[in-house]
Amino acid sequence: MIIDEKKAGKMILEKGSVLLPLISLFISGLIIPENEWAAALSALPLAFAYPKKGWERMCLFWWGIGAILAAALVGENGLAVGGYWLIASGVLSLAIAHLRRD
Amino acid sequence: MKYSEKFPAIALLISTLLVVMSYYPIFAAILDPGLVFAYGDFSTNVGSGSGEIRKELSIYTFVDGAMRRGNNRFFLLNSFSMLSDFVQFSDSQFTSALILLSLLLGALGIYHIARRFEKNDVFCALLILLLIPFYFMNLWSVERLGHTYIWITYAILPLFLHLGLSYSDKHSPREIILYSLMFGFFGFIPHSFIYLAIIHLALAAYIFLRKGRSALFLLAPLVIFAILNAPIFALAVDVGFEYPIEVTNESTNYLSNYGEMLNLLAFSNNWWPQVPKNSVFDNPFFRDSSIAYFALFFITFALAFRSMSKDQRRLSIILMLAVVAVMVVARGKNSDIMREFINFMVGIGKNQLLGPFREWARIGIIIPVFMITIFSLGVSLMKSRAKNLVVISLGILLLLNLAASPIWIYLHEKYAPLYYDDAFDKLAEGIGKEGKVFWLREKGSRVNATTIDGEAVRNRPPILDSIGSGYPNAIGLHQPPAGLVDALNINHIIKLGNPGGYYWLDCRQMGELQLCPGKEEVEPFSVYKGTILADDDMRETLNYPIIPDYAQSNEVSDYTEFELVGEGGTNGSFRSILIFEGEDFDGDFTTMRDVRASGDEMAVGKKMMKKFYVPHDGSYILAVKGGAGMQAFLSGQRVNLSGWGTGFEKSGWIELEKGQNSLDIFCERKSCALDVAWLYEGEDILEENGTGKVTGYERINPTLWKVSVDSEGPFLLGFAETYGSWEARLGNGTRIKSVKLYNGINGFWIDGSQKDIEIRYTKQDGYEAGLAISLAAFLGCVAGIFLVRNK
Repeated sequence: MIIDEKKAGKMILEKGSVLLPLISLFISGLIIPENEWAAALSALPLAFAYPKKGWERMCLFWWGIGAILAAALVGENGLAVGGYWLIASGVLSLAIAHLRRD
Repeated sequence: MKYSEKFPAIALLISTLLVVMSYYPIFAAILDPGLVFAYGDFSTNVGSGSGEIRKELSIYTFVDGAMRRGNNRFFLLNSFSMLSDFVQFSDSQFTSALILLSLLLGALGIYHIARRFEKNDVFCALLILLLIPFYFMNLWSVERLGHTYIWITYAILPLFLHLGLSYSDKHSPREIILYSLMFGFFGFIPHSFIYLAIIHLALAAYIFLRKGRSALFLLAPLVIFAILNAPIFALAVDVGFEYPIEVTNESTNYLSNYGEMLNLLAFSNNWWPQVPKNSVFDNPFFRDSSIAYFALFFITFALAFRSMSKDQRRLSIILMLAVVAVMVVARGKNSDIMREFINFMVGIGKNQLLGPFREWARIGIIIPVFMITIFSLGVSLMKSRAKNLVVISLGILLLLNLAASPIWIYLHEKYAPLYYDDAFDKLAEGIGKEGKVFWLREKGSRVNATTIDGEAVRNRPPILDSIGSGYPNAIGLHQPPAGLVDALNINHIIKLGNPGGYYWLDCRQMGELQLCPGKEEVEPFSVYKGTILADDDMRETLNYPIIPDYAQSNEVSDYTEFELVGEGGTNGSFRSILIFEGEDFDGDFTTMRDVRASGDEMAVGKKMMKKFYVPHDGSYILAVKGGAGMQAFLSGQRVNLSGWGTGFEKSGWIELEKGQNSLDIFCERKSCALDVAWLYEGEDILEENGTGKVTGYERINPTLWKVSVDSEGPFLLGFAETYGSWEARLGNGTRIKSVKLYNGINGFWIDGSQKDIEIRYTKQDGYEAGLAISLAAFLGCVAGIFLVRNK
């Protein structure tokens, strides 16, 4: 995918890469708890349209880690699943970015 | 050498010592052979003999599709047991020593991983001090101690990973040989193989991306693995692969219990916790600190990623991907992806392929080795302030986690070995292996035991397989007559609890056990002129005890076998017996239950017919048992029956031709009852049993016996060991397969000209050939290590 080469795509990525994980986290973790597909499907596109900037990539992790910590505190499995998918998509995005650079 | 350079080694010593001390009850058994592990899969044999390890090994094979102990013979002399026998260790000692050795290897691996990345000696020492207790004292680790052969693999994963990483740097043959040896030894059960294979694939991908010799790295360890495990593969060639435990849709559901993501992150996803549930699930300190471990490792990775070199990024991404993937599998059906996958596999009927994964949570135990590697790498790249923070955080989490963790219940109560009644030890010392011991256990019976601390407890009895030599479950002795006990060479019958029945035994109390005398003489071999291969109540006449369930002996295949066996035999010795139960006939009759009847049933009617196969031309005798007034016709020839004890009527000689024949029985009255009909070839089996006697025997090992027989003619040699792949080997090279006697032991038709006979468990040949190959490969590998080193 070369969305990042297009202006519109850039905008979505730069703004969306922070917002989308948050939205998916809330949808999957709180509104539809236990629904893994919702979390996975909303988080995975980020993996393929990887953000260029390092801090954006890291956002995925921070949201995921935040979700895991929140899960620890409130004991919500949905949050844990959401956090997991954010980390998973973060790792995938890093892997794809790395392979492309190779 | 700077003083600080010693810190990592000191940290290794201290942290390993701390873990060993925490595991103290497990290791106490090394010094005290009187201790016995008595928890489920972790149970070991009482006494000095090694039996349980053999049994456990055979369960963990793909062989034969069922956990039938009859297969255990194959592994009876497996490498571990041979070794434990050689060093005269009890099972508990051996198990303990194996765990300790693996723990030491694993700690060494963690030391190397930390040293590989962290160059600051003080931080490196701190890492080692924290990561070794984290690795061995997390709940996943301690719970898996219950499956010793999975745990020892878990323990060595850090060293395995370290060797793989070292190879990726230096491409040294020495490292790949050591790595492959570990793969071969620790991957010997399916689960362990899978864990090692996942790490191996991750490392191969890393080496591939580094443009290293990835093909060599990928294949060489697998080839060495296969050679080192040649004994198992030798058996697989013989009987095929199949996972021994049935995987059903239902089992995939309940094995997913507690597999929610939150439980996984809290190290609490075991489907069957063996400690009070509140100590796991209502334990916020333990759960939150466990979840925080995950968060801390991910944070470290995220923070350090930008500072990583290209290779470090490759490595960390691969390991993180492995963690992410394993986390999907470990949740079982709690993961949507896995649920769809499992349902798909069940749908296409391939559920059995899921066997090694079916306890989904277990695969999680390969996550910690990835965690410590990523953590060590991440910490090493941080600036000192962040580094301080992360290491201190880990220390606090470790203390919190250990303080609240249920592992102590596992280590000090659930898995801790116990002392049992002296009676078990005395029996283990006093009972030989040539005779048999038959245990009668009351279901759920408990016996007195004492903990290491001297506390009295009631526990389930220890494993008793190494006391004497028993029969596997295949032989169900339900209220056996005394004659059967003799035939099966059972010298000791021991009651545990109050099993009920067997009131004819004259037992005496021995501690909590009742020792009952069985057969007086130890006679594993007996000589018969003919034999009884079927259920019948002729036992009174013949004085042969007979076990039910051999009605199938009238199948043609059995007789084909007899015919082969009989080649070269002298005239007059019988070779074939066909037995027709009344209810197996065709015709106009009904069946009636009758406890006195053979097979508990009689056929009652006007006409009964049976077609059957005669293996070769010859003279036969027909004996029929039933009510009066029956007329019998054998292939059209009317047969005159005369009285013959215990309700049988017997014919004179009848000439039959090879091939299909028929037996028709007509009733002259309104209806007649037919219990059973026998058709047998050759001499009258009512004659004295046996024409020879056993003049000597020797038990070389459990799978090889030698016996001498003095006989004037052909005979049937009875061998009181579990029926299975046994073979009689004669001096002239002839090999004779075993036939089943008494529904459970072996018999060999022997031409009378042979006096000295070797009895061999045939699968042992393949095993030993495989063992020789393995040993040669092992020595080759060791030589390789030294040669490369000296280069």
